[in-house]
Amino acid sequence: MAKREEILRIFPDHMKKKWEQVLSEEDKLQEIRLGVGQPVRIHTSGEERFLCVDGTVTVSSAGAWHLTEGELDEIVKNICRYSPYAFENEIRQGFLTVQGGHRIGMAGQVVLNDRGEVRNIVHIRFLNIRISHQVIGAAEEIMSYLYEEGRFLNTLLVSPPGCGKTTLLRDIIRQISNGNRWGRGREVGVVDERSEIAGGFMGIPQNDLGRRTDVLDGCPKAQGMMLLVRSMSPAVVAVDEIGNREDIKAICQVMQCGGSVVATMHGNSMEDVTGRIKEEKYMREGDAENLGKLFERYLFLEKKRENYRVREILDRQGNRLCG
Amino acid sequence: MRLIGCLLVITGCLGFAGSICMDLNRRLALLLQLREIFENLKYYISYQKAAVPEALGKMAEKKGGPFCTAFKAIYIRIYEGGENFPGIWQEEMEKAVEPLPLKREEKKLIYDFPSCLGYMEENAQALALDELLRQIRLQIEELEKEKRNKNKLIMSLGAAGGCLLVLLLL
Repeated sequence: MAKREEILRIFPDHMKKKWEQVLSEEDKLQEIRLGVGQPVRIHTSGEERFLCVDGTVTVSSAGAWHLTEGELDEIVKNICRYSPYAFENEIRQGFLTVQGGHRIGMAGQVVLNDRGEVRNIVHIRFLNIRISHQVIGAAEEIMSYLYEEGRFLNTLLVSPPGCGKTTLLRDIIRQISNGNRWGRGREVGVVDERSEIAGGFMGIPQNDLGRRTDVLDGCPKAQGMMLLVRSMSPAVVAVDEIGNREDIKAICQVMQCGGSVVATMHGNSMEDVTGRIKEEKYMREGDAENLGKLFERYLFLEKKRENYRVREILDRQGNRLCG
Repeated sequence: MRLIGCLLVITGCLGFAGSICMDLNRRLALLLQLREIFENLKYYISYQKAAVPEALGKMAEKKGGPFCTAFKAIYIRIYEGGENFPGIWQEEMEKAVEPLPLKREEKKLIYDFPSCLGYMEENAQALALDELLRQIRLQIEELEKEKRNKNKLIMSLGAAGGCLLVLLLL
């Protein structure tokens, strides 16, 4: 299905017409931000614009379409296909992913359970629709650094949010799976906890992840990695946004089983990566150091104007290979 | 000739009474089918956590009948056409249910189904469906009772009506 159709489906029928002009530039569209009483904001190519009630797009917020509570409720119901119970776990985490892998962040009134943990978000009043972009060939230039004698090296992609980690990961998966100049095609197992990598819909990936890729959709990363290793024997396991102790433990187990791992993590430098792990209260002292030794390649990404690029590639010892 | 005419009038009246009984039977069969559908829907919600349109799509694959044709159309319109659930439900179910021998309140139970959706938690959603199921079960009980009491009466009235018509015509 075309990206335009996927995005249009987020909105109820009577609102669809208003989005036609916005979606005429669907490839440049990065985010749509909606909030009760706020103007509808559209982020395209690094610029913020506003949507008017008549469907035109302006640079000024004067005359912009201000969403009412009822309109936002309708959008939320439509996103959940009138079945919010089916997305309870996702909403609890503050986001859900729709067909095509577009992630919708949610904010509103939070309900806590007896232990003080987030039980759910009721009265969802703010949405951030992040448009997923599949860039075939995005990893072309860096694939040579990720192989050694035909073996895929354990790789960690690191960047702040919104710098293209998932887009790059998607293309790396596709290239490992289909095979490339540096290695033959391998079985890849993807644990897609947030349905962002594959953009799965009823278990079927909507993005091209290659012909040898199995996807475990909606499964927690640590459990999913072990499940895949036991059941699908992948040569490479791919996960998005690792961070806690269970994830690292599972990654170690995959590696001990002879598999390679390609993962992403939030951060900006090697110090950020180890420092962030140390900050986690549930981390043991050695985990940060372990993480530093686990991967054989570290790719640091950055955003320059509208373009995402690999800033530098480091090896296990921290030697700069590129950038 | 008169005798044949009389027999035909009585048979006609009996046939008319029979068709009323058949309508009752058909109505009962439809309500039983509806009960099964909502029980299945509850299973898909509670066990599989499937969204309602997905559950309808799965049920349409398994079963036949007037409801399932509508379910298939709803599923296709939502996932291929990207249309909204309540409007499509109303439209498709009206098409499917209107010609069926169901009472107005039974049809209303079907049309109002989207109003029992929207719960955040699967148990709450299943409970809302339980209420709908309870009302359908009540209709079934009533109809079964009605059927037991009325079937013989309708047939007897049909035969008696036929005889009366014969007497009047003679």
